[in-house]
Amino acid sequence: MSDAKLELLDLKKSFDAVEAVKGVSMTVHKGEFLSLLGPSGCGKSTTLSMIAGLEEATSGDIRVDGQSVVKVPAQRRRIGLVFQDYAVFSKLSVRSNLAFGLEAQGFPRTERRQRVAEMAERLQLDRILDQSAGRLNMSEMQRVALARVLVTEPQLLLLDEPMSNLDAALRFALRTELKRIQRSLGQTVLYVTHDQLEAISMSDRIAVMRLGELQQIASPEEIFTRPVNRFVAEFIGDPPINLLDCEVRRDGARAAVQTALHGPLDLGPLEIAEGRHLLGLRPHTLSLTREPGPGSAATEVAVVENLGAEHVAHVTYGDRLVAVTLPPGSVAEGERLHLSLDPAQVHLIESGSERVVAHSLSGVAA
Amino acid sequence: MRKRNPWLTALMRLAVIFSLLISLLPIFWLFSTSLKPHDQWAEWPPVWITDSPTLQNYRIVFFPEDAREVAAEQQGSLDYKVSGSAWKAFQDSAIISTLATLFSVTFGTLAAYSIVRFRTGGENFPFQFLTVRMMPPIAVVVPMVALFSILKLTDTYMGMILAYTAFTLPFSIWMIRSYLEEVPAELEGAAMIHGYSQFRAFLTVTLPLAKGGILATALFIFILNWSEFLFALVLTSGDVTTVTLQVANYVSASSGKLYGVQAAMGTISTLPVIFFGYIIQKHLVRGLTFGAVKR
Amino acid sequence: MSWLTLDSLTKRFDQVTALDGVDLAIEAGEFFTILGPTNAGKTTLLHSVAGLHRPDKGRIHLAGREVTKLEPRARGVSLLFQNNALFPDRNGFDNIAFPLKAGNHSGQEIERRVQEVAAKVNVRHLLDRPPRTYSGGEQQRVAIARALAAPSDLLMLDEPLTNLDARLRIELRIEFKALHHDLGQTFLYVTHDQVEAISLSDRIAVLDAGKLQQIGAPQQIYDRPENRFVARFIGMPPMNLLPVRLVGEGSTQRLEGKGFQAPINGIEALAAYPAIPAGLELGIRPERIRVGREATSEHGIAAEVVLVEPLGGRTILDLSLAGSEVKAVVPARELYAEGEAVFIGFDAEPELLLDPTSDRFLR
Repeated sequence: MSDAKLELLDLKKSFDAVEAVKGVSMTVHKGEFLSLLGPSGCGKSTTLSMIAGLEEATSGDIRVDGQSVVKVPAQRRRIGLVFQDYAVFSKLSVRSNLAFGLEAQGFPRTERRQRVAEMAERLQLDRILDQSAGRLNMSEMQRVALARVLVTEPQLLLLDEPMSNLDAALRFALRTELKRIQRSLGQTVLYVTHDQLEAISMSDRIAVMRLGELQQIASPEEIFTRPVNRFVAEFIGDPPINLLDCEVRRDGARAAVQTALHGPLDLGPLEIAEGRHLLGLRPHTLSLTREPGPGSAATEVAVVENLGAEHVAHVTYGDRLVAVTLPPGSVAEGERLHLSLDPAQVHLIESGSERVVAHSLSGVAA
Repeated sequence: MRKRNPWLTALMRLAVIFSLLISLLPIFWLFSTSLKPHDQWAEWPPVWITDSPTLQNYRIVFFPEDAREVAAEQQGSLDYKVSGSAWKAFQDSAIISTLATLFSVTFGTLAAYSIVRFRTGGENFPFQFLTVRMMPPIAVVVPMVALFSILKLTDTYMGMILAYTAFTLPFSIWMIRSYLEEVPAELEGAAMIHGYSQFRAFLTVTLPLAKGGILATALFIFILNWSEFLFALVLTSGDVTTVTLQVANYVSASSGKLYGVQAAMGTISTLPVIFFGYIIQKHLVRGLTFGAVKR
Repeated sequence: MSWLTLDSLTKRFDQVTALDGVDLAIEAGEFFTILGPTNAGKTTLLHSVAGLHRPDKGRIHLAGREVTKLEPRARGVSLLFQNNALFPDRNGFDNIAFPLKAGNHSGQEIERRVQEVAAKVNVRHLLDRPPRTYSGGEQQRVAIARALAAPSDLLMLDEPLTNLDARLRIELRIEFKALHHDLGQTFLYVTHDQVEAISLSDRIAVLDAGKLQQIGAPQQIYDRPENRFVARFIGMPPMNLLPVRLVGEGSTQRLEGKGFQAPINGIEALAAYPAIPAGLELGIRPERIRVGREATSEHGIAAEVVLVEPLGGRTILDLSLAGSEVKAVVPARELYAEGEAVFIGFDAEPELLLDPTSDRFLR
């Protein structure tokens, strides 16, 4: 692909007996913002280290703009890396911070000055260029850390959970800024995080990893509405997806699913064995009404969680509770209501393989 | 990575070998001499490795009367009289070094705790008392002698112990401070919340977690005390002695030049130092960088 | 008199004033949260109540007695530290049993109690292992068990979820709520995450730079912030504050801002305000902004989509309204593209008019 900026080909990394990365292959396109998302220990940081050149791959290839860089030492890969906490040189001025990488690479002074001035203006650092970097607020610090790397015009920008130690409110503001900067510069970015909210709000595509293996790589919308397996379905989404026990019955080629309160629901022609499986229902796809509707089931509100902009009602569903997101103030604890699901957003998870084999009921486009 | 200049590498290797030789040579000479018969002690050109090793020197260390045999053989008279007793030297050194180490580490721990938790003395206090140790001890030898005379501490165990404690305290405090800093204050806080007084929390929670470092410091201080010569020399006059003094005694007006015996005593005295040093070598690197390098 | 009160609590560390005259009154059995950004003084407040340091000024009363000068162990409180402070050289059982060892309990009683509390937070399988073998979530649970082991009047938690993975945070958050419900103890909880605060608390005290900004129930703080800081700190995305002017007379008064005009809902309320300055700011919560592709009576103000941030069930739209930045939240099924021209609408509530000179809302 001509616009492939970064390609990973069956990349593997083992530490002694432990396989940290088990054969990851993917392509990052030019100008794309791609997140590597997964829980601690899934191999995302190790993968990033290999791309940066800080770790040697056990096998597999890494190509930047079509050229293999696996044997190229880190400082010659022209890849920028931003660490956690940004690691800005606090004793130097902002200007010196920005010029740092350029000096190290031997750029002449006039060119250094020019590049620094340009980048500072783009990131709105021009007014604080001569300030000491130790006295910056977080937003300025993020921009300085980014500018410092961007000024060397890297092929690829790698960020390793840079915001994980920050206040929630700050993280939110910095995320938006980072996205805007990336957009305006057209910079290809690979972002490592364990926070699914960060990943879905910023990325063009997300690569979900688990125990060294790539689970799914797709746009946030696709990962959210069409997860390929149980892990991805559970990992993405806040509140997390409701997973309900269900029973699948076959009638020839057609399958139907039955849960404690809903069903039988027609899944159409589907390859899945009869028996117990799991049905995934996302909280925001469920609705509660005062009057019964088609396919609705009676339920009672056990707990209402206030999350500010929306509320989450935990309603009875057989012997357990199911979460439903609602606008604030719509329901109260103890109310008896009727629960309906959205036939276009119903995820059937095959037990054993844990793959999601259907995303909607028969006749409905997911 | 830039290709390492092979000349540079060779040069560095040469430099390391050179410095190794310089530091190990005296130790080798010491050990070698301790095994030489008396006629090879001061021979020129020097005998590097003797062809007739003997344990006579070691015998003389522990049984000084045997020196007379050597005297008889060497100069035809019974004129050797080893001054001082190696047995007493080992005993006194053991007492002084051990007790001085104990005091130094105990007070050092308490002082370090105060500095770490309560910032006693202010930010610069640790640096201030460390500079005390940076002046050459010989500069204060005369005042020390005068002071000790007035206090009637010359030639006493207590005097030596006090002197050693005082001069090793800055090291104790400095090293133990860095170990205590690594124990988070929250652990004591948790203990206090759950019913302990601050001091009890310190004893039962913090100290056990720093004990490795404190032990390493103790061994380091012990080595310093054991090897000390200058103050042992000026602050004693016979009633109290140390291994360092005894080693010096073998080359004196009354003993003559018992180089071999001196080497033997020296070798024996070095053993505890090597042994303890080996045990704490990991911690030594930490302590020697004086906490300047953050983990 | 309230069960836990702080009167004018002040604490300084060298040049920095960590707490500046803080007044709080907390009722027994409440889940009370101190919410604020880093370095707001939250941990200092908690440590003062615990007795880990003396305040410079002010007094603390707990369950009827003054405890300002009492040592920690005499106060009957329990504290869960931010980095859990588990004793690394002891195993789970000894860690949890620690508070009980200080008192006079028999070995049997201690055993029974430790098992009981370990079962409550689901850590019985960790009792014979040291903390370094635990995962982050397990460490927190054992730390909670230790905090609960000895009966105490007040359980204080210092940002217990901050250092955990996002998923674990959500799980444990719900467990905390259940725990509070179960135990009935008074919880004093500290966090910088406003979602945690809103979902868990009976009441919240917002703290910034050592000063109290507002105290109230979560919904109240959310709907009726008292000043700019609270308005911007609570809510994700934060409340929009658009510069406006009051134009017109009497019942035709409306608000005019850059690129829009808005009628005022409940215009009579304006009469209650003593003096209305010329320049104001209107607060609008992002989820209350209506967005559509055509201009209608519901949404008639022209704006442009600059950035789209999906959140799963809903999506944040970064809009440009005649150059001003406005954030709106729409359901995920409404798909907008970056650069698209849209129309928005919102209701102007007089209670959310801010005076920029004082940074306080007019009410």
